[in-house]
Amino acid sequence: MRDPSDGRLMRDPTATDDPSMAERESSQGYLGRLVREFWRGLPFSALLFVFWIVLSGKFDGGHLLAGATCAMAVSLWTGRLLCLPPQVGLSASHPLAGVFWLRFPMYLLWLARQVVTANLHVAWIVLHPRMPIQPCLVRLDKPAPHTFARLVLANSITLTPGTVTLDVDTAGYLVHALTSRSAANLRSGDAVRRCQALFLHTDPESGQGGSR
Amino acid sequence: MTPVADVVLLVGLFFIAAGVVGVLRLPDFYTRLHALGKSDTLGVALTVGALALRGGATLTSAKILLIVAFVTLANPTATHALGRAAYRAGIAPWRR
Repeated sequence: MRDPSDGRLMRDPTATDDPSMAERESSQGYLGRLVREFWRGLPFSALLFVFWIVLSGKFDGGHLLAGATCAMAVSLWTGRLLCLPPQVGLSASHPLAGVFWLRFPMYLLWLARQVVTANLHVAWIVLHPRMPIQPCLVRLDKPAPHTFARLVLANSITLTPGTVTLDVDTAGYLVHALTSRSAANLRSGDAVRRCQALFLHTDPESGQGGSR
Repeated sequence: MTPVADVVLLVGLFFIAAGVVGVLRLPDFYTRLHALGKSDTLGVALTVGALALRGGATLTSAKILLIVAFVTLANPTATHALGRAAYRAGIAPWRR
């Protein structure tokens, strides 16, 4: 009954694991899809539920029930917006599955140090009587493997000292650098290496681009 | 815990103040983005984190830490959105 293109849009990972089950579920129509989206959105529901508990601070049955209901409803309604088609590589079903989580604490530490350095840097420049700035635009041609990796690198560049990402496209980044030294630091590629190390799946095409 | 929180609060306020001075002193839109985008991330995190330190291990502190997490995520994104809008609107960067 349902348009088969719906199933393709959603790219349900459980459905691709077992094609026969997927066929059966899609033939069940609306209810089957609802159940499928419910299971798929369950991690997001759990996250929203924890968020609810922290914000409400009430642990009685009524509040918890209301929170659980709202979390599931929001997850069902917005699931299709948040779970975009996988762009991580062939084996990963979700962008978060493509992160090298073991390296994540190291990345966070590095980022925290960058944030502190960046703040001291900008405070020093701004409070310096002569304001030693040499602003320039830097074009960085480092294609990241997928949108999520691009997002992480663009935000990391913004948080590193003296650089703000202005534009991102599939080929690379346009970065505004506050001083010639921060531009040189960006070209040395430390931020790029750190962010690329964070992701497991790099397709061969972007791997070539990264080593260029 | 309170003296530590006070020091953290003062350091956070220093960074926010530096950001304000930067917005006033720097010559153009893009350089001002640097001042705001950087100092707000650490300044707000420290200021609000100091309040969490004062509050101790309470639910309110958990909410405050959530604020820190969201500001850290949202601030570079907003900075990028502003910078990109300015670039697409054709604002030329200031050069020495």
